[in-house]
Amino acid sequence: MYPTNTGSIRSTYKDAVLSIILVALVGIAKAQSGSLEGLTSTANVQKSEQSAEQSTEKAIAQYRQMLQEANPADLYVIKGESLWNSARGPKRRSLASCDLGLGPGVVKGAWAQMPRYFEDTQRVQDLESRILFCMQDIQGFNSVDLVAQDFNTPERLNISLLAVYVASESEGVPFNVPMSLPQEKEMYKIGKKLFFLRAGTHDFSCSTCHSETGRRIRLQDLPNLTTQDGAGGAYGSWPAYRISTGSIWTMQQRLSDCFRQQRFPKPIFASPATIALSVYMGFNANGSEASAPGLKR
Amino acid sequence: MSDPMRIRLQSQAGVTTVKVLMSHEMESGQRKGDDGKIVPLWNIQDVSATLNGKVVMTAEWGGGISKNPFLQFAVKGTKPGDKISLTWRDNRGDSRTDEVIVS
Amino acid sequence: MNMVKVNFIHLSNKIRPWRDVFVFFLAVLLIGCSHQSQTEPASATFISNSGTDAEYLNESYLKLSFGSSGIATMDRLKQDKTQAICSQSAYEATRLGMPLVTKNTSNSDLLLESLRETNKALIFTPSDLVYFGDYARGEAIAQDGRGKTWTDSVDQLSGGNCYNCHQLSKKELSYGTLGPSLYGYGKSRGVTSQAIYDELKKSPKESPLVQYTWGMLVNSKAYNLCTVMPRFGVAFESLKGFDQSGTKAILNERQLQDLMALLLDPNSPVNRE
Repeated sequence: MYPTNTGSIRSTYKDAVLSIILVALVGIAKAQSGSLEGLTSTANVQKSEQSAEQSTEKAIAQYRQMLQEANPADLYVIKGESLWNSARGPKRRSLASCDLGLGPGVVKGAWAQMPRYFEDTQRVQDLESRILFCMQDIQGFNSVDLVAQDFNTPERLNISLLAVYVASESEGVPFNVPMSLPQEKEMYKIGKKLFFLRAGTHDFSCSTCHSETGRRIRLQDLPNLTTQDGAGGAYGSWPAYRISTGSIWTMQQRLSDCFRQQRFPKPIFASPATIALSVYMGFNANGSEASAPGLKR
Repeated sequence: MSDPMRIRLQSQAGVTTVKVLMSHEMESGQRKGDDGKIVPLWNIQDVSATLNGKVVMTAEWGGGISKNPFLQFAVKGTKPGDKISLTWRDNRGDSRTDEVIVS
Repeated sequence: MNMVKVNFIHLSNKIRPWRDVFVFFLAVLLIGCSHQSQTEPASATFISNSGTDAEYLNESYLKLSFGSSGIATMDRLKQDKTQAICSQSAYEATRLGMPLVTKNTSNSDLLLESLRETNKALIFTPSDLVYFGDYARGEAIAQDGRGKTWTDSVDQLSGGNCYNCHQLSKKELSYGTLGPSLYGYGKSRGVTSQAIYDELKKSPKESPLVQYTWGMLVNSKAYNLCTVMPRFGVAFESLKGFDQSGTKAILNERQLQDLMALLLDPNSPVNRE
């Protein structure tokens, strides 16, 4: 079963009531700008509508600013950091010696250079697959077992917490995904091919929605992942706190739900193809500043 | 064991704006879980803030406050070195206090 | 009642956290303030694909990365010819009207044409030549995005999910822009009265408009091979069992008829508002 929406169901009713009140207040504000005769003249109606629109836009801009300051992801970053430094797993050790590509224990700036090739595993690995490896190698967790679980099991949730912590330590750092080794180049090619791969009952591919600028699905803007701007903004803002589910989602989880809606079979957690997609998006994002943890609807 | 609050301060001319993000599930007591049963009420009921030990803000919260609540307020008459402390208490008797120093 | 009692000693801003509430408020405001301008088709920026590299993404590689779940089984990754060709970026570019440029363009043009014909052959004639159903049901189908995912059941009717990509009725502001607006579809094509609509119903085979609209719904690839619009009336052979509508396609005949009514009936919300 799918992760439950802990936030949306219970707040829907209260949201509806409060938003009706708020919309009514906006309506009242609109109506009160100007005299009665003034209201019947088009110019005044337009002016009052314009000023109401402007004050709405200001309010939305203010709200967006407040959101940046109040991203609940910050709470999960704190939890993730504490997990990182806790002695856990069968071997009762912390992840302090985990090498994310910049040397054992170096977390700051590491995610901005992932995915990358790792000598010790002889594989290109992304954020989650590398954390998974460290959990197995250093702490003794069974990664096969973890891969088989769903995103909402306790230990898989812990991986999301660790991921959001590690990503947050690259906030503001420009992406610099390496592309010099043959393994890295191959993964990029595979990722790109998968990006354009049409399959399933609906003939969908990633590119169906994500290869043009300025499109949206319903009211959700769609980033163009083939460009630096689009990839930088989108790839760089996951892991993120999703308000609708009241939880942290990582890129692996975002990909999984994308594939579900593409009517594809289910991607395996931290599998090669999913890493390849992150290589494709990450390299396309190079130069853009990482912004994770993000805040999504 | 409750999770730490994330507190940020912005001070200007003796007025400090306190922005705090609290970690709490805040179950309204009206939501039905996956099993179809009501998830019991579990939320923060009281919040208070002190400046150097003196209470400057108290709040009583009802069921309308969301998960991971964000609270923002301003405190007058602060100077660098002052200690601002925030405490919440929930209906299960759990509480959490976190402190920050005004810079 | 839900009360908030606050006791301030100093001046303060509002203290109620609005997080969840404002998201909904924001959504309602956006809906209220949205306008209906058309987005221009953006210039596509396709990074040139290196071609069909057989060693990548073959069956064994895909088996390492995907697994069957629910009704979404691994055979869904077996591409048919149309999917395979349109996965190449040179062909994908044609969906926006860009010219086909490959190593052997004339061969590719022929391939494009022949695949379009193959798709055209899959457009079936509805039973008893009934092309039109009920527009209210059509609107519901256009709003419904369920079906065929690994969390859906095999006997669940799928929706058309049209609003994901298209504008349709004037009232529905939550529409996507992946496809052109269909607002006023019938009206702007001359179906302005009941009499004209009845004539379409009586002689559907003689009406290019009816044939084109039906054809687009059943199999859009017959017209634009690499369009991103799904083939709503084409059977997907590997679907396990039938859904309750007795079809292995995304939509069944009745649903397609309802969508025809949504688009062409002068009384439909698409045309009358």
